[in-house]
Amino acid sequence: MESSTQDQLNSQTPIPVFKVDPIMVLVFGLLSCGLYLIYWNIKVAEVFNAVAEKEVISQPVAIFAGCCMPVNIYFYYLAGKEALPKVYQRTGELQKDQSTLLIVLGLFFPIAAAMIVQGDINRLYN
Amino acid sequence: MISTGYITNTKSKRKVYGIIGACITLLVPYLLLLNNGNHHLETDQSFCPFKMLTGFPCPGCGITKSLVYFYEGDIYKSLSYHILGPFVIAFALLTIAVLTTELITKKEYFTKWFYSKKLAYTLAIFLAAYHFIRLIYFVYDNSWSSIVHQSIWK
Repeated sequence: MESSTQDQLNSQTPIPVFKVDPIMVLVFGLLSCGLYLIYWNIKVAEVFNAVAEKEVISQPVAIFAGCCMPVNIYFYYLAGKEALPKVYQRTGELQKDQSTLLIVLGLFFPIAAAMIVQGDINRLYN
Repeated sequence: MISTGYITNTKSKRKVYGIIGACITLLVPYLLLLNNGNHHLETDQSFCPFKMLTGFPCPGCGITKSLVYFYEGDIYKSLSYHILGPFVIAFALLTIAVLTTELITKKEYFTKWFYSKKLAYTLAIFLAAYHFIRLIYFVYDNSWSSIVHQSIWK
């Protein structure tokens, strides 16, 4: 019964494919001096919105997160609090709240927070 | 099943967070301005994690200083630090006004603009182009040792 509900959920909304090796997020982010992270924010927001089947992170928030620290913190708060638990629900993992970890990492080393999020998203396509 | 009361509560909470975030964005540069007697901001180590790590600016680098010099009335210096600095002030003020009005009237305004994908992508392309040009000038104006000096590896 539980698996049929899961299958039903999985088949409802097509999830955009955005599978990148977390190491490549680090490499592209450093090589492009942070420009890649703006693109990454937009693509990840699309994936999160599709997985949650509602607008968890809007496009303006995703874009401003790439250039404004308070918005970046808000982006990771939403990702950890509302979006990632839905991703874990799809992948059948424990639906833990990652917001604290992501906010702290987002404050001191945003690329590491992005790598963690990317790693979790990649499991959607396994 | 999610009750509508829960959704309304979450939306209101987010709006309050938005107002607090906009107030912090406006207040922090003002406090820095009060503590910038000998213009030490120009030479201090940046707190941007990317700048600290690499010495290169990130797309948002200079916005805080831009706001500080905007408050000081030096528009040219403000724009030279980041072209979007004055825009951030206008956006933060607009956010406070709109979200406060929404909380009071319990109606939503300007959602078409706030959630416009087209506007967001236009801004992203502008920011990317601006950052790319800024990087070229940055590399042209700074020597390798000067770039390293701006990081924490000096």
